[in-house]
Amino acid sequence: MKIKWFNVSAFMITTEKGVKIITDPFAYNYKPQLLPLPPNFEKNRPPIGEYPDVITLSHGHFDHSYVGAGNIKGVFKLYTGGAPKEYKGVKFSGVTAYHDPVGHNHHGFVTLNVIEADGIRIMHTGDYGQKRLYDEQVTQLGRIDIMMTAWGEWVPALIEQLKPKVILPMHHARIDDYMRGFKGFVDYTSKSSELEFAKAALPSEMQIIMLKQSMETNL
Amino acid sequence: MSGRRTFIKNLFALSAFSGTSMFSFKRDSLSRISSLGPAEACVMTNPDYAMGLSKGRVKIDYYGMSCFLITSDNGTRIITDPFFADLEILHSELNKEPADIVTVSCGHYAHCYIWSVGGMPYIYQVTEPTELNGIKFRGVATRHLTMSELAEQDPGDNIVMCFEVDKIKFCHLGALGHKLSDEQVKKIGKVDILMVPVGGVSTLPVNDAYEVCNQINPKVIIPMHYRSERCVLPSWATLNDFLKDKKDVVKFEPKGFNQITFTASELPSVMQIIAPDYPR
Repeated sequence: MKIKWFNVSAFMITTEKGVKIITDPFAYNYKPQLLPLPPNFEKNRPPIGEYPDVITLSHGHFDHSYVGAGNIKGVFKLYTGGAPKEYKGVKFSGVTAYHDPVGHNHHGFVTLNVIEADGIRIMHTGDYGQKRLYDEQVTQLGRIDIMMTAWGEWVPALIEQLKPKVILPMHHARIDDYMRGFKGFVDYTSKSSELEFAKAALPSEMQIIMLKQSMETNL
Repeated sequence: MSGRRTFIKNLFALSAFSGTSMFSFKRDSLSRISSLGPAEACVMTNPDYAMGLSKGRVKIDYYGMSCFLITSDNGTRIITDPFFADLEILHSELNKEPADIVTVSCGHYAHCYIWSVGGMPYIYQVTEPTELNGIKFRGVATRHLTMSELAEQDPGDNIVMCFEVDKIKFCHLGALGHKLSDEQVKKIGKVDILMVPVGGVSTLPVNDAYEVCNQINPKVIIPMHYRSERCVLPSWATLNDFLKDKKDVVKFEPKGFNQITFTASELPSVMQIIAPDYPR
């Protein structure tokens, strides 16, 4: 399967059979209404413009759930969590978690979407921000091969609890000393935004692969 | 600002909890309902359906703004234009209401908040005719012509959704911003039930809304997207502004009753306006 990073939390997973799944599409031409414009603001950013089979959403914020008006083309299925579903041979399941550290539940819930295709289990954490996963959540998530996550204080606990084989940092992630400190850190920021994965070829030791953004954004 | 917002949200939460609508749930029971399939949830949430009273009928539930849930006789659930509740739109959002198909007319927050929908629905937001769950959908391209600050974010396209459920032809105008051209009227074709935005400002003016109804000439008009105590945009027109001087109006009382059921043979022969209430 191929995994391509657009920007923010939007990835496209293309399975061996050609099923396309897009995670958390962002508002491609978002303009803040009340705040001053950011310095590199550009009025006409291009949309994602792909024809996916399924869109998964982690939560309803507009940098994670914008499907309308030309951003996403065609007719597609939507998965936002709840009961596990299967579509075109790809399995979807979702585990509910908090957007913020527990006790500061300001933004409500997010869904940790787990996508199983070609024998690989991919988890997309959205804006997950708990200090640690609850044991129940770890059980429900099960084996995780590839983890897409924002880069923050929740990452060490996620690595310890889920033991993923590949981590793809996202959502304005920057290469920092913590990331460089890992033995399996791979910098693809000047090479490629798309990678190919196969179940048999997953690394035995954990890799952290920082991909190149294939789209610019105002977010 | 945040204090005012909290106050309004609290006020809203209180009234939502004390409401008697049978289609709103308490938050605790939501996860249970969203984990059910559409058919089971339909039976659970609709006592009429469970008792067989609405068998053979198409059910239309109004949720506020442009959001309707249309349930066919075999339990296929279509949701139109789910909205995002904010400081001005105080209707209760859909809370993971399971659906089979969601239609999205335009990419604005009051029409495309699909996160609020549960299940694993198809999202239909194109003009190409497509058959989904045995129902044929087609979209007619129109324009939104909206407020300038919104127009900067969005090209302003709007899609009029046409579909037929159990031999009743539905047409949902979305956020239409202008009167229709002859070509567009021809593309829309024959319509039995028409959902029309009447609030003005970000959609077409209230008088033009009635002219569009006459252009399409449906059997039933359901007005939507208007100012009310749950949609507090001051410059918008109210439902009464639209109903003024109109004949054949059925306005729903008691408050909170938001369902209409139909069969194809029961449709009125003369154009009738039916205004359901929204959940309170």
